[in-house]
Amino acid sequence: MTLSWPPATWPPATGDGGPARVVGVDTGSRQLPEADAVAATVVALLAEQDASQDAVVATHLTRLGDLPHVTLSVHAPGLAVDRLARLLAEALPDSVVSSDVHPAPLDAAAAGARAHATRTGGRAVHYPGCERLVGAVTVDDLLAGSAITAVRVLGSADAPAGDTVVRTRDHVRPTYDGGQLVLAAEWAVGRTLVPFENPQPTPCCADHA
Amino acid sequence: MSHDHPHDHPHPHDHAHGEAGLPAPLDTAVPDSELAPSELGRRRFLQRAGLLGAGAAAASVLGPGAGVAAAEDAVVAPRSNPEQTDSFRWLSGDHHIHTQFSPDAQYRVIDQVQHANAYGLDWVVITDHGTDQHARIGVELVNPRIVQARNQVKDTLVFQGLEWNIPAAEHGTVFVHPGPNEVSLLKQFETDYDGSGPNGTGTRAPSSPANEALAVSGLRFLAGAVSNKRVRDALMLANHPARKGIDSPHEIRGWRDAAPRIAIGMEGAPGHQAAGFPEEYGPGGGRGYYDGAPSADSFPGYPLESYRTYGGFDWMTSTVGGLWDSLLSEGKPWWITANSDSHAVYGDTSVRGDENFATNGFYGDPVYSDAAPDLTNGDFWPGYYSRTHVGATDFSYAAVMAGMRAGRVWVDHGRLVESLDIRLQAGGREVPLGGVLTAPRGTPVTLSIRIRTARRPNWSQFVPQLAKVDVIRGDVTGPARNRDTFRAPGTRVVRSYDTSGQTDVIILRHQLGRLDTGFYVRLRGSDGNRLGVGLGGPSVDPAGPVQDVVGDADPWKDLWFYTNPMWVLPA
Repeated sequence: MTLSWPPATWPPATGDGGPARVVGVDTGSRQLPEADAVAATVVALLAEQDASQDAVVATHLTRLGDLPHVTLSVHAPGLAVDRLARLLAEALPDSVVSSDVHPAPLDAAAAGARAHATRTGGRAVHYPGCERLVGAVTVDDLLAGSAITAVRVLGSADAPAGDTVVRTRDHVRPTYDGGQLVLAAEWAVGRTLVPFENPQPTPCCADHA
Repeated sequence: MSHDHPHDHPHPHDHAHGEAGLPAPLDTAVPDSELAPSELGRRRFLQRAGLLGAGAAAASVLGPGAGVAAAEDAVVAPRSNPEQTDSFRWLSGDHHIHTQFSPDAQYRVIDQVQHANAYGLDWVVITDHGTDQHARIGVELVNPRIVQARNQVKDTLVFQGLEWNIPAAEHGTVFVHPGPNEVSLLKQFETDYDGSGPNGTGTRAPSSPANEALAVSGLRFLAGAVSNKRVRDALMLANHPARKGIDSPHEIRGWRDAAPRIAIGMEGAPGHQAAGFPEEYGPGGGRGYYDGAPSADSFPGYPLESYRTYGGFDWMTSTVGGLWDSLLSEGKPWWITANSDSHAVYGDTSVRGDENFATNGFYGDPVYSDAAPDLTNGDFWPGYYSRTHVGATDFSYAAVMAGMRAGRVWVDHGRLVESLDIRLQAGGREVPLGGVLTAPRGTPVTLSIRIRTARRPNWSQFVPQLAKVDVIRGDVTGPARNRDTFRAPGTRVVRSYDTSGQTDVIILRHQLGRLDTGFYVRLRGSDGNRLGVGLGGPSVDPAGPVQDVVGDADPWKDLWFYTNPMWVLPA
C-alpha cells in the first residue's frame, strides 16, 4: 500500500475558475464495470462521512496515459475538498488524485475532474436522487426527483412527454453535457423508455448459448 | 516477432502498385507479354466482359495517377436486349460462420455447410474466433473437416478463414483461397497478428497506436502472402464495425489504404439478427447483439446512435451521409456484406457436446437436447436470413473472391428480392455494381435497375413484398482531410420509387442528369414495414430504416436490400 500524500500538485492553485471543487481519481480501471465498483467504494466512504446525499460521483473515459481507461471524479459539497482528496487517496491506494484546478498539462484524473466541474463530460454513477430511480418512473418524476435535468431520446431532438414511463432497470447513468445532466434513453417494448446504457450488455465474443 | 517470408516471384516484374494481390491475368501491372497464352486468353475474356481493371484495383477510384485510366477498362457496351439478364453468375454466400472450434459456438463444420447449402448458399467462409486454442490447435484440426465438407457438399464452396481480433479494433473476417498453404498461412497470421495475443492475454486488444500499427502490419503480411504466391488470394472484411464503437474512422481508412486488395469492406449488416426477438420467446437483446455503450476503447467522436442497428443494418451503412458514404465520396472503394455470424441458432434443438474447449480447442459434437428448443439463441443458419450476393464469372473460389474485390455485391435480408441487375450508363457504355464509369462532362448518365421480385416464399414461409426502392447519390469530393470524419454532407436519397404491389420484374430507369462533377450512386430497398426520418434529417433521408428496439425487433417484419455503389467520373 503506497500513500504519497500530498502529491506534488496538491493543494490545487486557485485558478481563474476559483478554488477546486471536484476531486479526480485515476485508479487505472480499464472498463466501466470496474470503475463502477470503485465508485461504490467511494459512495460508501462518503456515506461514512455523512456526505453522500448531495454528492456526485462520475466516471470519465480517457485516452490520456498508456492505455485508454476510466477515471472517477467526486464532488461532495459536504466535505472540504482537501479532506475529500485525502480520504480518497487513503481509501484508494495506488491511485492518482487530482482536482479540477490543475496546472497544464492535465493528467487523466484532473481532466475528468475539470469535465465534471464544468458539466461538460462525465457519466454520473451517484447523484442526488439516484436512489429513487428504481423500477418504473415517469419522465416528470425522474426530472423532479433527481439531479437529472433532461431526458434525450436517441435519434430525436424532441423531449419525451412528461408522462412517458422510464423502466430504469435500476441502472440510471446520466451524463454531463453542455451544463446539463442528461439521461440518454431509447424506446423499448410497449412504448416505454429505457436508459441507453444496458445494465447487462452482451459482452464481446460472448458465450451466447 | 518475425514475419520473414520469401520473395521469390516466379515472374520477374515488380508490381507498380506497391501492393499486389491479383492473379497475373487480372493484374494490370503485368503486361500482356508476360502472360502465358492461357492467361492471356483469360485476360482477353475478362476485358471483353468488362471485368478487368475495375475501380477496386486502385486505392481510390480517383487514382493515384492512372487509376481513372484503369477504370476505363471496366466499361462494357450495353446489351442489345434489355430483357437479357446480366452476364454474371450471382453466387450467394456468407463470410462469417462459427463452429465448435470457437469458444462461444457449437456446430460441426458440416452442420453449418449443409444448412447453408439447403438454404441456398453457393459459398461460405468458416470463421472461428482467433484464440490461443485456435492458433495452436483449431486452425489445423478444422481443416480436414472443411476439406471433407467440400467433398460432401459439392455445390457450396467452403473457404477456410478465421475471425480476426483486429488489434486495437473489432473483429474481422480473414480468409484465403484454398490451397496447400491455407492452414499454415492462417496459423502464422493468427499467431503473429491476432489481437487476443499469443496467450490469450488480450494485450493487443486495447486501442493504441502500436496496436493499430500491428493491424496494418497484419494486412500487409496477407498482401505479401498473395504477391509471393504463398496463397492464391486473401481478403479481409471488418465485422459488426459499429457494435462497440472501437473501429475508428481512421483505422478503417488505414486498413483500406494499407492493403486495398486485401481489406475490401465491412459487414453492412451484422449477424445475430434473431437477437432482438422479445424476451417472451427470444433473447430480448439488441438486434445483432448491438446493445452496448461506449467504453474507454471506443472512438470518442461516435454518437450514441452508432451503437444500435437500423433496419438490421450497422449504423455506418444505414446512415445516409454517414461513415460509409464518407468513404465512397472520397472515391474509396469499400464494400458491404451481410452475414449470419451463426454461433447458436434460434429455436435449435441441439446443445453443445463436451465442454473441454480450453483443453481440446473444440467442443464435442452437438447433441440433441431433450429440453425445449432454445429460444434464447440469437442467430440464424447461414442463408436462412442474411445473404451476400457476388457477381462471379464462374463457379469457383477465385471468382467469388474476385467478384467481392470488384464490389459486384449486393445484400438482402429474408430473401426480399430474387435478383438485381443494376447498371450505370453513360455515353453508350455501362458498369455493374462496384464499377467506375468515365465520360466527358455533359454526357447524360442513366441508372438502369432491373429487379426480379421474390416469387417463392422465404425461410419464414411468406413471399416478401418489395415496397420501395431508394436511389442514394453523393458527390465525389476527393480524399478526406480529416481521416476521422464519418460524414458525407452532400449524400442524400435523390429518388424513391414506390414498388408496392408490383410483381415479377420491375424495370426502372433513373436519369441522373448530365455529368458535371463525379458522383456515385447506390441503391436500397425495403418491405416498407418500418420507415422513418433518417439520422441526417428529412432532406437527406425522409423514409429510411428506423432504430431497432432492443428486446422488440422482429427481423422478419423489417427487410431491406442494399447494393454497393457505382461511380461516374468526368473524363
